Amino acid sequence: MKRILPIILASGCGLLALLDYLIASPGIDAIGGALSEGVIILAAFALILGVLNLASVHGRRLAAQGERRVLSGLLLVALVGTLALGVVPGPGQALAWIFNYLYMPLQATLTALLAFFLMIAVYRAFRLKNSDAAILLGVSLFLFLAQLPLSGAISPYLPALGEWLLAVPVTAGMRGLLLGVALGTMVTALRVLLAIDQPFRGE
Amino acid sequence: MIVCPACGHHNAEGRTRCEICGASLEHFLYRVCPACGALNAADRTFCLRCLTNLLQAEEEDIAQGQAIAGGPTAPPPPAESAPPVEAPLPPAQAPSSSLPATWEETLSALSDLLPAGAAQALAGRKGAPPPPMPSEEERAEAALFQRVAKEGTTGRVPPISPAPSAVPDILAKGRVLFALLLIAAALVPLWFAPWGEGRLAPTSGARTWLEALGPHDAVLVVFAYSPAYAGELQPLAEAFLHTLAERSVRSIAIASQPAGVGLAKEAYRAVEEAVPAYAYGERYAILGYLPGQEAGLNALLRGLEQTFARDALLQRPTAELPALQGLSQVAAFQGILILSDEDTPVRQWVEQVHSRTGLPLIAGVAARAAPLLAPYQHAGQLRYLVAGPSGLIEMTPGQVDRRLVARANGLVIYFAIWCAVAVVSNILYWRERRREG
Repeated sequence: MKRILPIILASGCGLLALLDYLIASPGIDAIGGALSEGVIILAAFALILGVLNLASVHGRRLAAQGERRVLSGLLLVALVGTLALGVVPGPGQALAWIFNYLYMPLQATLTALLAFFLMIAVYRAFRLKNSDAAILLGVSLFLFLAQLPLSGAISPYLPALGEWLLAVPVTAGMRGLLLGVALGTMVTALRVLLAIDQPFRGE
Repeated sequence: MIVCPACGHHNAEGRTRCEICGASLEHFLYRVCPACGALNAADRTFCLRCLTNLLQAEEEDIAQGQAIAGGPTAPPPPAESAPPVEAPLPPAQAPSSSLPATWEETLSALSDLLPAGAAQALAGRKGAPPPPMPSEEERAEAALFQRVAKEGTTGRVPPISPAPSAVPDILAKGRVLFALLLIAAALVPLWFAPWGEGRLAPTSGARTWLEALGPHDAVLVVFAYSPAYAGELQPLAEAFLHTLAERSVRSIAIASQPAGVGLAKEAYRAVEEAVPAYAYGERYAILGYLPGQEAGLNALLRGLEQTFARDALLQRPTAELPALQGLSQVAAFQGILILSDEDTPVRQWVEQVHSRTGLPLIAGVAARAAPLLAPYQHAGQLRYLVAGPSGLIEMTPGQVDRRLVARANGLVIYFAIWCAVAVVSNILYWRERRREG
C-alpha cells in the first residue's frame, strides 16, 4: 500500500489534468482547476519553505559560532529587515530603495561577470587548432559583427546576412530541437502516467 | 562506497538505496578512490587515474572506521604466525618508499590500527591469495586517463591511434554528412524563396499593432525577466508601456518571476512620469506574482479575479479596480505582451494560453532568446518578436535614449576586446607550436 498509493495518486492527478485539456466537462474542469490552484499554493509555499530553511541553516551556523558566523548574521539581518520593510503598510519607499539600489545592481553585477567568463572561453576555444575551431571562430565573429550597430555602416548586406543566418539555419536547428523536446516530453509524461518512472519516489 | 547521484551522499557498500534521500543506487555504483578522489565504476579493482587498489583501500577504510568507533584497541595478534606472501604491490605504488612493500606488511601495518575483533577477522584472511595485479588494459586506460587529465590548454596532445571500429565507414564520416545536410538546409529555402524573404518579420509590426489600439482596449503585460537582465529589458518594457500610455490603452501587469513585481513598478513609475494621465488603478494595475508556471497559467485562464484576489500595490480587491472592469477573463484582452529574458516563459504562454484563446502574443525578449523563439514566430504562434538593441530602436523611433547609446558603445568596445583576445590567443598558440617544432 505504501508503494501503490503514491502511484495511484500521481497517475490519477496526471490523468485528470490531461483530461481537463482534452474534454470540456464541468466536473473535470472543476477538478482540473482545483489541481492547478493546488500547484500554485504548493509553489508559493515552497518559496516560504525555502526562506525558513535558509533562516534555519544560517541560524544554526550563527549559534555554532562557526567561521562564517558574521556572514550568516548579515544574511539573517538582511532577510528579517527586508521582510519587515515589505510587510509594513505604506508607500514602500525603503523597499523600493533596496530593490533599485541593492538588489538590481547586485544581480546585474553577477550577470556582468559572464562577460569575463566569455573572454576566458574565447581565449581557450578560438585557437585555430583544426577546421572545427576555424568554423566556430568565423561564425562567432560574423554574428557578433552583424549585431553591432555599426555593421550597417560597414556593409548594408551584413545585418541582412546575420538575420538570414538566424532565420534559416539557426531556426532549422532550433525547430528540430524543439520537436525532439516535445517528443521527449510526451514520452516522459507517458512514463510517469504509466508509473514506469516514479520521480516522486526518487526512482 | 557508493556516491548517490541525486544528493551526493556517500553510502556504505551493498546499499541499493541512498541512506539520505532514498534514490535508487542500482545503476549508479561508483567507487571513490581514497588516494586521488577519482570516481571509478563499481566493478573496477584499480583506480582509473592512479591505479590504487580500490578493494584494498576500502577494506582499510572500513577497518580504520571500526578502529575509531571501537574505542581503545586490544593488542594485535602476532604477525609472525602468518605465512609470508611475496606479492609486490602494483607498479604505480611501488616507487613510494613510505608504503609497505608486500601484502603481508600491509596487513601487519593495518592490524596495528584495528580493535581485537576486526584484527582477528583480518588476520584470518592473511592466507588469502594476494590481490590481483592491474591488467595491461587497465594500465593503458589509466595512462590515457592521466594524459587527458593533465592535458594543458596550450600543449599538443600526441595522436592516439584509434581502436578498430565496427561502424561502417559511411557512418564514421557522419560529421561530413551532417555538414552537408546543414548546408543543404540553409540553401533549400533560397530555392523556394528569394533572398530576404525568409528573414524575421520586421519588429516595427509590433509598434504598428500597438499604435492601432485605443482607450477601450486592454493588454495583459507579463514581466518574466530577472533584475539581471533589467539593463537590457527595462528600456524595452518602458518603450512598450509608453506606447500604450500615449494611447491610454489599459494595461494589466503580472509577474512570473518573484522580482517581476518590483520591475513592473519601476517601469510604470517611469511611464507615469512621462504620461501623468496614465494613473494606477484607472488605466493600469499590477496584480502580482503568479507562481506555478504552466499550472499557474492554467489557473489564470479560469479567471483573473480568482487567481489574484487583490492587486499588488494598493491591496484593493481586483474587482473594484476601474482598470480591470470587464477584464475578468484573459480572453477579454486584445493581446498579451510578454517581456522575458529567456525562451521558456514565452513558450509556456504559447502552449498554455495562445493555443486556447488565440490571443495575439507579442514577445519582447533579450537578444539571446530571439533565435530560440524564431520557430514560433514563423509558425504564427508569436505575432511579433522584438529583441535586442534593434528591437529597442524600432520601438523608440526618433528618440535618442542615452542607455541605448551607452549599450551600443559598450557592445563595440566588447567586440574590440573580444577580437583582441582571440588574436592574442592564436599568436601565443602558434608561437608555442613553432617552439615545439
